[in-house]
Amino acid sequence: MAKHTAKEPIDPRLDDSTIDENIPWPNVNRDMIRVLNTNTWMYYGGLAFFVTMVLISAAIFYNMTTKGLGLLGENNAVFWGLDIPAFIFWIGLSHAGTFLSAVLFYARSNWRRSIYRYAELMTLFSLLNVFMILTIHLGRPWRFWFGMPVPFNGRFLWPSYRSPLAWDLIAITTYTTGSALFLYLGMVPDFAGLRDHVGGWRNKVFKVASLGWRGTDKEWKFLVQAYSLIGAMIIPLMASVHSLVAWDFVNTMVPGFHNTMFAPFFVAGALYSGIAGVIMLVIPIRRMFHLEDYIRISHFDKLGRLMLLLAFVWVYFQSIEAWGAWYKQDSFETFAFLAKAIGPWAPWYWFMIAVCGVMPMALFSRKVRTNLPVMLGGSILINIGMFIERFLIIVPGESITHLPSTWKYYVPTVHEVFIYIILPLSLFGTLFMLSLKIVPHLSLYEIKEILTVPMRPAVETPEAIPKSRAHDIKAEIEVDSETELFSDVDDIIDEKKEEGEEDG
Amino acid sequence: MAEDRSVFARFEFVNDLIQAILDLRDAGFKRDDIEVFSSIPLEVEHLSHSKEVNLKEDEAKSLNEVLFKEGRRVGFFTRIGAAIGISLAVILVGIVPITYPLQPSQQGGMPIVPFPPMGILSFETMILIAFIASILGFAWLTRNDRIKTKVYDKLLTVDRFAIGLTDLSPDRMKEATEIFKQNSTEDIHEFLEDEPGKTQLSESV
Repeated sequence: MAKHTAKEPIDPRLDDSTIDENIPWPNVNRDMIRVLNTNTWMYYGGLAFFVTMVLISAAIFYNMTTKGLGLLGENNAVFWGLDIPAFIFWIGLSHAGTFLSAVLFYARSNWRRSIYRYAELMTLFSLLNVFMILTIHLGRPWRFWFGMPVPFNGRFLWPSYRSPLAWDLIAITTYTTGSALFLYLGMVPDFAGLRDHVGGWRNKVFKVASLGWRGTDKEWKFLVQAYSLIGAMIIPLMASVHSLVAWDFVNTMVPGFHNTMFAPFFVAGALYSGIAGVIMLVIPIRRMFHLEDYIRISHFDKLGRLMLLLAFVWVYFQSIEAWGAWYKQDSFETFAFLAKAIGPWAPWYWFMIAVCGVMPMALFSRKVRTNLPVMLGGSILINIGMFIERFLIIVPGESITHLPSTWKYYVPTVHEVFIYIILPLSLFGTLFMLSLKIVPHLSLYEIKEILTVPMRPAVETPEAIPKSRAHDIKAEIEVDSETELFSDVDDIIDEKKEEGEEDG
Repeated sequence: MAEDRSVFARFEFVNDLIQAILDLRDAGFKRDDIEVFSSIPLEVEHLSHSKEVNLKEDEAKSLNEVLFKEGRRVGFFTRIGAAIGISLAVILVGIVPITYPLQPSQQGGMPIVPFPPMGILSFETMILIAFIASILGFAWLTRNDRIKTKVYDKLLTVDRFAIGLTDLSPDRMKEATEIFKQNSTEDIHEFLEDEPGKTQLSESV
């Protein structure tokens, strides 16, 4: 295994740069291959844990499917218990990928380059969870295809396109397809880089995935065109998907749901929890694979600032929701809000306000933004708070309807906790851990773009040759025994040395 | 055939590569005949700012013509996909209520073909099909490019640059080789296009 050569300044918290521009290009390839080849007990332990949890949760889901929905805590009033909050939560998490990759791509923010691939993978796996939760929450998941516009289905019926539920399905299908294609397109040159230097069974995968990429000027031109076009299309799509989900609620007369600000509220909340999700993912990965050269403290500083901004937007929408409950002068709206603020849901509500509204104000301090354990803990708390937020949007409104005789409290059962919380979390973890071994998590070409381009020094003398970039590379690199990447560089250096000796 | 010879030159430094491209252009090689390989998209505007390159205005223009050849665009496929997507949604949302078994007069005063859902679904399907068409367009356009020359070097995905020239006469081949040598090329390979076993130059990686 290659030796880690990270060189952090004495106090990395004071370093504002997002990457050391003098990292040699081959090091980027080497570090990407190192991630693929690093097998630690932490990796296999984590994978085994997630797979075990998936199997346990799947068994519980099977039990629920065979015995019936009576195993769940849902009742006549609260017909969406944990399923729809989980659905919204995972859609929200998926928004960070698009934001970090597409929005910051157009904003020309170079710091996104080291971390956006993680965000995009988070988007894809979150959306797979969304599909799973949508299917499970139907109660009869084998009839999922009834929602699809399939002709000649023997029922003489099509989905009602007047219903936001039908919009949801199409919007999420589009978003998942778009996110997967956007992710894949950016990875084509990186797959080629891995294809050229990684052997074994993965070489066959990379050969197919790289589409025969050679790096010609025309290929780059078409890639940049396609990437820019898809990036431009996926940004409004991102906003539309969560807006459509919000309209699922807005179009009903349930107290607490009928609110015109839900669409932007949902999108802002999605970005907020998504950024926190990226921080949760990137900190352990950085530590596990020693990616300190690429994911620097300054990345977390910037993510922290972004999270602080989104925290303010979120607090604004929460305030508007509270104010609206009074301003509408609708007693049921007021009851629904009071049930959250001082009623049976109050402990959850104030916990949410504390971790999502008050705690992030600590991000004003640079010391907090650059303290990784604090950022990790804070991000986990924010995402717990955001899950509770989705729960409090759905459940109190359902439990306090316009018919007081139907008012009911809701307590989720163990089945619901496993099916709607532990199963998606562990499935996400499993997919992400597996992806670490077959997907280039660092964007090779995008990182190289912000490094120093190999240039011939203005005057080259035989004395200058040993100090050339290639020699520096040789001194730093321990050639990976499996990939044998840089043996050509060695040959070239030897040739140049010989030439230098002859000339000298 | 005299016209089926190709040459492939590898460079360690980007300023050598740029100078070689400019010299080839001065020697009368057409921009479409020069194929440039790199592990990043080379942006002339970005490169022009470095003191090692120091391009003049006409040189930057000439280089830009080679690196960003005019011609087909992925956007064409995207637009076709978008148009298909919108049409699909309009047909779907329009036909479903019209073919509903109950009579249109029984729809409770609502319009038979609802326009707000049609707008929303048109947007979603437009984006969906445009995505797919863009990727297919990208795959198709780059596939055509690969058919032209088969040569490749594995170091190109690490840190090397290269120029490929195809369909050369012996005289032009000699001229190109001289230009490459003058610009400190690291490695030159001359070969026949249909010669077997010459598609992979860097065997040691």
